Amino acid sequence: MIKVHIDLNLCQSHGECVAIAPDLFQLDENDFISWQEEVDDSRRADLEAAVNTCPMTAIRIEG
Amino acid sequence: MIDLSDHDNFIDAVPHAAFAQLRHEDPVHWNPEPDGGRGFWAVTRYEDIRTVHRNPDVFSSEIGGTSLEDLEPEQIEARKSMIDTDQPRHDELRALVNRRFTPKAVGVWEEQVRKVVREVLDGAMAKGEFDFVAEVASEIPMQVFAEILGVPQSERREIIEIGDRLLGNADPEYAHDGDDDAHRDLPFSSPAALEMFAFGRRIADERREHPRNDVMSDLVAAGLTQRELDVYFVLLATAGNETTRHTITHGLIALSEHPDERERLRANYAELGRTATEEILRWATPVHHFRRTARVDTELAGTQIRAGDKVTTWFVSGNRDEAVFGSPERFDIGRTPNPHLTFGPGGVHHCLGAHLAKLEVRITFEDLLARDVQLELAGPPERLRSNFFNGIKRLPVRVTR
Repeated sequence: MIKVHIDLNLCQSHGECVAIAPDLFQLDENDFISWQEEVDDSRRADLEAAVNTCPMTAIRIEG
Repeated sequence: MIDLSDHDNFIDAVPHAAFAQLRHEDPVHWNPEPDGGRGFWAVTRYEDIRTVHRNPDVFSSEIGGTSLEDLEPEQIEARKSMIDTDQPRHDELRALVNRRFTPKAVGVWEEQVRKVVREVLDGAMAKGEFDFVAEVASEIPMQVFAEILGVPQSERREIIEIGDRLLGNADPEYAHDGDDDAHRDLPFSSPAALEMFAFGRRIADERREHPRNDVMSDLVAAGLTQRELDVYFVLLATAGNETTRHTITHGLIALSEHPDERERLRANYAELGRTATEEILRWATPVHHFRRTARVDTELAGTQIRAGDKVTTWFVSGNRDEAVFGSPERFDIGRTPNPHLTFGPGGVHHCLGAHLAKLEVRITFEDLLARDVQLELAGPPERLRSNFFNGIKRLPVRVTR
């Protein structure tokens, strides 16, 4: 499993991660991000894309 | 080396060869301004552009604004919109409308965008031979924008016409008469901004009376000053229209000039539509550059930059950087990954309308390529004279079977 961290002090709700993997990242009606904190290894490519695309460099993955 | 301050260098074509030379020989290049400006740094490599945009503590949007002009502090203050602010002001302004442009919020618009695209293309294709910019590329974003902002559809051509004069301020076809200096407190130093202000105020007044669930209602409820509201409207009206327009036009040109890629896309839009959209965005790069101002003495790629220096970042060059994109001069609708800079290289100013723009481009070409009749170019594109916008003024096309 891969651990996903988002720094909420950095996140500005741009939604790039949501566009890449809507099943792993969501923005609620108040624009707050929520996300799946443990993700199967098969989704590594999507997670790496989210990490690289995030305009605020707020996403970090581990494992 | 090319003079990037000279709009004439962008008339015939994007000077890609000159940018390649800059990337290889002088990636943080000092560009004097012969017409009286104090000169600027031109940053042309992908990674350096990213560094500038992701370090707003060093490279400010607010100190000198984001356009090349040297302005007085009170002029900057008078004309600055969200893109010309730093944190914390930027975040306050963006938060007013951000929730309207998230993937989920934009997804709700998909059916409406499909309807707009279908109607616009139906109308245009029936003409047989027409100007693609006027009939299609400017209409689609404008109609979608009119829906989202609540501009009456009957008035949308007026916004397009004002916007053309506003952003074409370096092109003799649109340039206003008289003294530029008289309008330096206005966006793009153009008196057309006053007309756009007036347009926005009419809609704002109506929303004050009859609030709706839309962007303008959010803005009038936010307690902005009149000028803040004025420039916010100009920002949305221009950023939401002209950029997508030029992207769609460049997309049609690219697909026409690369028939193999066009047929590959037509044969499998479901699989390639999204990567093709990203490649069209990279290829088009509707905004050539943005400016920052160094807040402190710093160093970029080994070059000393002094506090107060103007620093321009050329997305058009970063999008062709060989260090990031394999065969960058190739138009490849399947390109993966495609971390283009068209919406900005990240940082707080990353394009607010990115998800909406992608939706509009993807649906436009999906609809166009699914038709029995197709478009072919009937003449060369007429380019906007601008070192800021990669604009196409007119593109004659004809319908073929």
